[in-house]
Amino acid sequence: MKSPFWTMIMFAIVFLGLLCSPFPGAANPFTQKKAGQLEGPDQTSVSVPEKKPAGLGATSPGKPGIVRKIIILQQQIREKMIAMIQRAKNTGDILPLVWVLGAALVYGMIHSAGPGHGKALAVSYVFGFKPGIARALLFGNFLAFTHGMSGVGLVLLVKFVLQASMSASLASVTQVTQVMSYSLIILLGCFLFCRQAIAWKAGSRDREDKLLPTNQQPSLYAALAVGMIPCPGVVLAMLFCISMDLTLFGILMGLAISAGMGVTLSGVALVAVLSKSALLKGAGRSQKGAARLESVVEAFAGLMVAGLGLVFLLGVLA
Amino acid sequence: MLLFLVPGAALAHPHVFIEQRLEVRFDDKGLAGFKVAWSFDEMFSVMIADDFDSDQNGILDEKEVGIIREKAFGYIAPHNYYIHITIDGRPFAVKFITEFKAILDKGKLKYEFFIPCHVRAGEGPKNIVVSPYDPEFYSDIFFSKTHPLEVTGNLSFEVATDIRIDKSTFIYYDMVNPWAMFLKFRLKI
Repeated sequence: MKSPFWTMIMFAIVFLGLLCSPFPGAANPFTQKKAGQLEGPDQTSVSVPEKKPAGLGATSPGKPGIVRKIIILQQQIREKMIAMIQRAKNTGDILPLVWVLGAALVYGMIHSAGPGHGKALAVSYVFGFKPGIARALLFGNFLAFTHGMSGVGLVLLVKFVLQASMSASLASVTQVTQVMSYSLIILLGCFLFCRQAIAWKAGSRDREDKLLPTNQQPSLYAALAVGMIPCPGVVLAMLFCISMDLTLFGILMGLAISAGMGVTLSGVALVAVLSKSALLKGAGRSQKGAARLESVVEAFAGLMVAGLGLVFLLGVLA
Repeated sequence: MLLFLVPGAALAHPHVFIEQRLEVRFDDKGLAGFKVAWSFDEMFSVMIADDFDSDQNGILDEKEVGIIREKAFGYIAPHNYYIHITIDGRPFAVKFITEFKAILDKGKLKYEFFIPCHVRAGEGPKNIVVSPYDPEFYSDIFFSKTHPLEVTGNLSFEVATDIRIDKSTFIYYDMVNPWAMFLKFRLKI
């Protein structure tokens, strides 16, 4: 086995990076109470010590970085989608709506490239369950569609069945699904780790596979566990379309955004599959060494998944 | 693979976009405070209008504005109402606001509110930084391209203003620098 030390360093970096990722499906801060109150000086007046007179010259303006440029692009795409939907509504022309569906696909790709949206779980799934490329892509897309279409389902349920407040419903449903989702993720991670621990104790990887035959791998359940949290971006898009009396188009738009997210998540899953393959090949020609490394990787993936789930769950419950 | 996972290289995803205009108000003694005007994107506007324009007439009456202030604005109070102010480098806590208004303007939701912030003018310059941002980056707040800033009131002071990205402040896991208004003023010499 080559460089197990560096293998563990790589996973430590990934784990720490994932710990810094914010929680997916964060609630709207305008419509949901958050904890914490800032302390500070009396607001009505401030005593500031005198300083020596100095010039009041202007400074040079700053240029937006790459992240800020991406945000601006995201906002411009959304503004354009809104304008096109309004134009279609006013003129009856369908062509702008076709443009919107394409833009929604791109919007979903950009939107899910940021922290959250299940990328960490997609990678952990690849490292924990040894899927082939096809199954990894299926996992990524299933995760994306669940996340997007749960938003569509929530809006339809609240607007047409319950006829309740959308902002309040989104906040409460997001919190409930987050608790459920993160709890299931913790259980999944514990399962992955325990499976390896039992195999190590038994001294055989054959025992590990017998614990969970391939055709019963809970991969899609894991995707469902994360995807159940409604995507706020899809919720807002859906609400806007309903306000334009374009409910069916809103569902199509939700599908397009979900497809865009699926492209990103599939890409992440694919890279993870190829990375894992390269990693195991780099372990050397020893079959025993490669098997041992794979076992370590899968156990670490389980710990990572459980750890992430715990961090996210504590954040929601705090 | 690490590029997708490590926050430093990841891209952003706010869900609400807010266009801001700022009025810097002076009185006889110096700075009196800031009037903030927010214009929300249409998608968020639709959600709030749907929930709080109870008679769905496109106009927010006094009662509806009161409910919006409590249930669709008041929750950001612990975060300085997303207006982060420093006075000569020292943080100023925004504990209350006045003159709150909420209106629907052709489907767009707009908020206005005033932040009292009294700073006496002296011979030396006072350096004020006003940075609007949501620490969780659920909302992205940016200055309007048209008339982003206005200085009003007693203009017997030397005043200099600048709007630019605040490179010294980081939000959202150190990935984003917020916009800020930099204000300097002093007694006219």
